[in-house]
Amino acid sequence: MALLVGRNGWFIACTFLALLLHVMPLPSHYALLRPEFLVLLCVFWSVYSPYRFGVVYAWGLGLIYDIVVTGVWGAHAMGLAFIAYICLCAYQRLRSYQLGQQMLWVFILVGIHQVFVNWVHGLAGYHIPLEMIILPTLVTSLCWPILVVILKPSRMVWHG
Amino acid sequence: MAVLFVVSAILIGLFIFTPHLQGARNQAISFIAPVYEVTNFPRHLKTWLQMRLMSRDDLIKDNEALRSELLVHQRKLQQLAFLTAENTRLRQLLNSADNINQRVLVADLIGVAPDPRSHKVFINRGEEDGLYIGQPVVDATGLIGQVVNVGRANSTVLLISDSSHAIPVQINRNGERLIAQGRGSVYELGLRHVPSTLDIREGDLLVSSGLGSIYPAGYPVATVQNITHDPGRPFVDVVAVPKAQLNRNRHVLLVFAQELPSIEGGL
Repeated sequence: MALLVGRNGWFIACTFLALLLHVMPLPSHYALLRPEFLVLLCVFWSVYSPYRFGVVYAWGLGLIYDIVVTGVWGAHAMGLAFIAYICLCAYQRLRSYQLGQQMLWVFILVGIHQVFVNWVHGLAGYHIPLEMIILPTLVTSLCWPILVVILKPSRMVWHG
Repeated sequence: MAVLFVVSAILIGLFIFTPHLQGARNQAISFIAPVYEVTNFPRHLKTWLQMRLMSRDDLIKDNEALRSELLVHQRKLQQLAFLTAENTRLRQLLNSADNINQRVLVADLIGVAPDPRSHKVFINRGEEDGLYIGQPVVDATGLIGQVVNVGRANSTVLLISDSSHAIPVQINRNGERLIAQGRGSVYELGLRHVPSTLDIREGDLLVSSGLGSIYPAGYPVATVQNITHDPGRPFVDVVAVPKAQLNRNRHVLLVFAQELPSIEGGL
């Protein structure tokens, strides 16, 4: 039981840290350059821990994210669940790629997520300029190698 | 996956098109406030250090500046008493109620919503302090926005610069009524449906008109910065700069506009 709490504790700690990084105050000029840490985490876990991580987890994380940033509830949840689904279908292929190719995949996945989330916000009456979709996507995909380097050795903590 | 999709679609639909989730959203503020408190810690530390590690010279300088500022304000205040009395007399002549004095409450900013799309801030006052949804929020220089979610001890404020927000205003110089809409930037508001014949100039002050019965009348909202006449378009494009310092505030004032005046006057 203690081991189980310890393992899930790692998962919870990572999620909480990502949320903190998300709400960290930034000047409004740089707010667009904030990487989507939670999306990166979801992609990472779907690719490298596919037996532990699933669509429902991704959906739950997305919902927590929506609630914390006071966005439209369900938007990030749906986006994350969808990209987790794609990653889980293709995790073996994704793992075998080089970092550069993986970054390209991450760019497309985060792009899908951004387009979906922004579409939902558009429904809610928000006006969204194009750079608000492209910039975060670009920055997030550039952060992928850093995340892989940091998290890859720690996989075993969760796998047990 | 299909089930999740349906659940999400229903959730999004409920959120956007119906008010059913309002209660849950109010509850959620209590849960998310601690996250913002944690990220605010470095700023608290910085302010605390600045307060403790100020040099004596700086303190003296500050003190002098504040004293001279106080003098200026006191001079204005002398006139204010006279003007208020005169205003009351005139209003009595017109048989209208005096609604200038409103009770206010000071709140601290505890966080800013990180999403660049939405302009929302969190404050450390909630239901316990008598806040209500739709309550106007101002700072020392102008209107900031309105309360949209009230938790137990925290609430969310939607800024006037949010692109889903619009506020009825009037030009202070001539009383022309307009609508100022947020454009998703804290530095500008857009004016909707401005006819090209309207008497509006750069530098005009826009104050809240009190229509829509959310914001009380007479609070400064924005200054007109730029007017673009385009003959190909039906309306003039007017950009105004918000008077309130939307991205610099630490403290904001909550105005209790729904209460009857003259029960508790002033701050």
